[in-house]
Amino acid sequence: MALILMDGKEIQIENGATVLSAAYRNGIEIPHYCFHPAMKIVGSCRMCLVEIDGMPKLQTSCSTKIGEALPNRKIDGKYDMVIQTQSEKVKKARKTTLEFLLLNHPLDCPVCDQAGECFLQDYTYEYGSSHSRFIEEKLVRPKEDFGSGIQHDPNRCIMCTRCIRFTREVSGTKELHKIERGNHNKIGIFEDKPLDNPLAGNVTDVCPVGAMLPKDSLHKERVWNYDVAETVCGVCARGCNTNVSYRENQIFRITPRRNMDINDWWMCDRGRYFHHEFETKNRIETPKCRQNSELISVSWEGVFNFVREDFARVRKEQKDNFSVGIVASPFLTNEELFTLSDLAHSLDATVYRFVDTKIGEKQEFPQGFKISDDFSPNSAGLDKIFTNADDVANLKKHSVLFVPSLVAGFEFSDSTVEQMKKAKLVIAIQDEKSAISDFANAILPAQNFYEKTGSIVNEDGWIQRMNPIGQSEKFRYNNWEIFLKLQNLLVGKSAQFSSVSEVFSNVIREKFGLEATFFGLKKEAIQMNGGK
Amino acid sequence: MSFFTEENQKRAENIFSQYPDKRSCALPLLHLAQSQEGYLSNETIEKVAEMCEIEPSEMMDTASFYTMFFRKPMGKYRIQVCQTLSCSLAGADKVVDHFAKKLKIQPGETTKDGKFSLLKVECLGSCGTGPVVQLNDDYIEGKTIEELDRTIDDL
Amino acid sequence: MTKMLTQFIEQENCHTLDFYLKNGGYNQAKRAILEMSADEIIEIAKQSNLRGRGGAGFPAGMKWSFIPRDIDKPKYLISNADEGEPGTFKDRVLLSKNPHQMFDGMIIAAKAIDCHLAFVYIRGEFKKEAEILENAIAEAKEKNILGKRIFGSDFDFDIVVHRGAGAYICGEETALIESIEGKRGQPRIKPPFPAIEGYLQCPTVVNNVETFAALPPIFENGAQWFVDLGVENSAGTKLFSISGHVKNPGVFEVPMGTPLHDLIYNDEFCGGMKDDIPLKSVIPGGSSSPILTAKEIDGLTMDYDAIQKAGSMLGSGAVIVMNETTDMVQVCYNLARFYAHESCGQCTPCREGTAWLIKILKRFTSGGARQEDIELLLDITDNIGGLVDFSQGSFGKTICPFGEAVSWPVRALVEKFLPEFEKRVQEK
Repeated sequence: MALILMDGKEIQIENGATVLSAAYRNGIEIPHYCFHPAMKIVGSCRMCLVEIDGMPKLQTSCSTKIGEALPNRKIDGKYDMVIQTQSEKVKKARKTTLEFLLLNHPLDCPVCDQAGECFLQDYTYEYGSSHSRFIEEKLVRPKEDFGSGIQHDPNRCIMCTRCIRFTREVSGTKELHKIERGNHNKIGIFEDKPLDNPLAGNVTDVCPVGAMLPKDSLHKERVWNYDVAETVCGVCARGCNTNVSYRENQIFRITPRRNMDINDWWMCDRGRYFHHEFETKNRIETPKCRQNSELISVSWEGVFNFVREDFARVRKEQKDNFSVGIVASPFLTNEELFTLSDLAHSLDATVYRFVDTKIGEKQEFPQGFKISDDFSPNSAGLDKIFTNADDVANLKKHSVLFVPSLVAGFEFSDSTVEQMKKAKLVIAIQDEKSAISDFANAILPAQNFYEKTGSIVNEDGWIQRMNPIGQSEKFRYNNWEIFLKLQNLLVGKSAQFSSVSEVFSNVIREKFGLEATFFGLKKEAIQMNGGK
Repeated sequence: MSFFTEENQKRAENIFSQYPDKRSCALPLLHLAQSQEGYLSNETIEKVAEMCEIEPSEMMDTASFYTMFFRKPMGKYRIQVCQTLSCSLAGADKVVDHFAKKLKIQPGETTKDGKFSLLKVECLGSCGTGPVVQLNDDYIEGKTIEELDRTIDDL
Repeated sequence: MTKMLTQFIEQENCHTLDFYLKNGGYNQAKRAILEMSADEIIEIAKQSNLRGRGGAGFPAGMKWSFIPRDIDKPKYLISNADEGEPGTFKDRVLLSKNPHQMFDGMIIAAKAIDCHLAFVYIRGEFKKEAEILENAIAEAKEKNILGKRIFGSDFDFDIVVHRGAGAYICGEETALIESIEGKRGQPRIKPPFPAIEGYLQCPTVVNNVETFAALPPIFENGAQWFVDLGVENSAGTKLFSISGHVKNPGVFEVPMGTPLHDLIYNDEFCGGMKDDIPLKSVIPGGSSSPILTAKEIDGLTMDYDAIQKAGSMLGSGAVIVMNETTDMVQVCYNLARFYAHESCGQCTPCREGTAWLIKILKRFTSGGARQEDIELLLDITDNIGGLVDFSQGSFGKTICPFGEAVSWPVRALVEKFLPEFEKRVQEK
């Protein structure tokens, strides 16, 4: 351990830590651009310069390591390093570096999507100058399409090279490079080799300024108008941690949130843009039931009455032949699966599971970021909760079927659908119209991926919490509540859960053998298989 | 089929045999490719990248850094006039002006017949014999404008 | 006067191996390989106080001693023949007239650091010189001086000639290493230093051509002989490239501490000012070194300490002499333009600052300069090169010394020839 003095504050820090990390871990901000914890240190932006006793030049805090000094070299007899991050020299260096960065910058914040989360803007406000001494003509270069939906604006670029290093070190695809040198430096792609990798969208996140923007959300909304849901991506079994930016229930963008156990700083483009799959006109807004072969919208009371009456009627008609089938899927949360399993148990139902979710390609990138071949979020949870469910491909003829929705891109096979059609009563719990809607007798509107709250388990056993965009007042019932409600309706009793937290605690205790709170899960994922 | 001529392919193989890794051969191979093709087209850069087992993007990163690598066709004869201090003190500016007028092109341009390119370059490392003109690979040192003219006229 | 590098360069076939061998060539390399230990070699180099001839003046023996011995990685040696610093044209003489002496020195250094593959990084424009080197290597290989088991020992040593491609910054040792690795020539952040992680992350020593060439005579005549040739802190002879407004520009080998006046005015050297127009100023150590006025060079001797005392530096020994008719504003623009063209573009202050400097200086040469631009020019030299006052030293704000290299000449020119800059303001 080394003892350092930073801005008059004594800090104990392990040998080999950088000045920058020592500062951040102790609440001292040092502005920086080129440094990114996932990438090779290049020390070129010169924004993180600090003053270190005994070193005549200002030093880059990102690259300067702290180590124990020899006893006779300690400063004031005890400090291994004495650092100032706020001295006049440091302040001038920051101010002039910002001045340099802004010389050729268009200062077009009013039309730049980065505004509001731009480090050029923030640092200029905090450390910069309010006027420029530059009276010459600015360099103006055209915007470029870099592929994968990314627009590059060289005029806003500060040449920190994070994007280049991302493609070299993280995605390993190496599409980006520097072209020319000196002041003519620019980020480029090779002729007909645009950004083309499953992680390309991350370059827009690593760019500290507005030089790399996703065309997907370009000019659609100012960032300060966004509400943000901290959640977990559900497009594959990795469960990357994400921030979903939305406004009035419309999702504008999804960006990764750091989690070193699961996704580091990254997410894949499929997860990033998957919300568009839900922007269809097929949304099921109200409960529906089939009358005279027509689906008509009814109230929740209406649909529940319909289900209760038809269920009783079918049971009566079928007598000894009466049987119930329930289809579970890894697109459901643990809480949904738990209440669904209760429903199944109380109705003595045969449970089937949708299993054909391994339709992706397992991918691993140089630094270890992974994309799962399982394109569902909760296969591990499903395995725990329904230990012996049959493949839905073996679906038998049942009198009554409960079918919760799958997710865009997934459908039941034609033969399964044909088999389903044989049921007398099909109750679908769905967010969008699907092949099932064509013959379902009752449809209960469900929450989709981005709207529900609950827990899921990733392929490595991490139990994580999904959080919804907006308030779910749009939905009268959460999906897990629908299953409870159905149980109550058809059997006359059910567990009395008043919140998702309560369901969580129960499912986690009964099915996973763990003690945990849903609130705790917000802060940190739980490892299902023990350990951290 | 190799991108290089048979003779150059042998040279390339000789280059590879000298270095401990393939990427280190980038500069020598770019030089060789340029000597064969006259300039480095994207296609050429891609071919050299393949030989060095790196991405074309990485080879472009390298090639575009160095001023001796041309990424567009050049004239048969490149008249490269040093303009840095010692040569400037020795009258390099007049040499540039003279050739610009004589060839009716601006520095950086090539004559319509593709015979001459006029380039202003920075220090060529022969400051004692200014004004220095590098005609393709050859240094022409300490000559008067009249003498330079004769050399150019004989081409 | 003793010469140890250029004594034969006027003679026919001086670049050939036969010529070199006839004059005692490779005896020292052979002795180093067959008879000397690494420690002995480093000790002699240290005692000789041979300082790097490329510009920085770092003691060569010390540099070698930083190479770790107990690691299982190849070690590399590089001769820096980039000769990029404007005003410098000394190494070209050695490369074309006396290549074997450099190889001789490289073999000695190779033994000192246990290196078996070396490079000569020669600037791309020196194509003829590169060919001379390649021929010389072929000659040496035939005689078992280079290649496998040299001089009949069990020591293998090869030299590869690597041509640059037009980038001044590749004279900086880590940019040079990047360039050999087939990358753009961007200096690396240090530490790690090349002695620990250089070419391909292996321990690497980079020395200037002249530094290597100085080794055989040092090993032949002894360290003390070399020390005695020069003056305090500046041992040996040194090549000076003198250009500009003198009668006979050229490369001259003289002992360290020779008066600059002699070099400019004596007939055996430059023979005085061209057209006898009086001297106005001198850049003493390559374009990066702060310019000195006629008054400041009065009595100046050419050695590290004396030039530093005068407010500049010996650098690569490149002297650019300017007469009374020289427009110092134009000189300033010319140099700033060179640096803007050569900035690698990695560090913000240098990439943006050099381009800004030439835009401002362009207004001084072509109209539109404002009084406040003078202050601005000076402030930019602080913001790139950390240079406020020469007596305080400069503390560059960039990865490599390029930031300082552009700031020194600009600041010195503006400060020392202020009236010329002010005159341009009034002219607008």
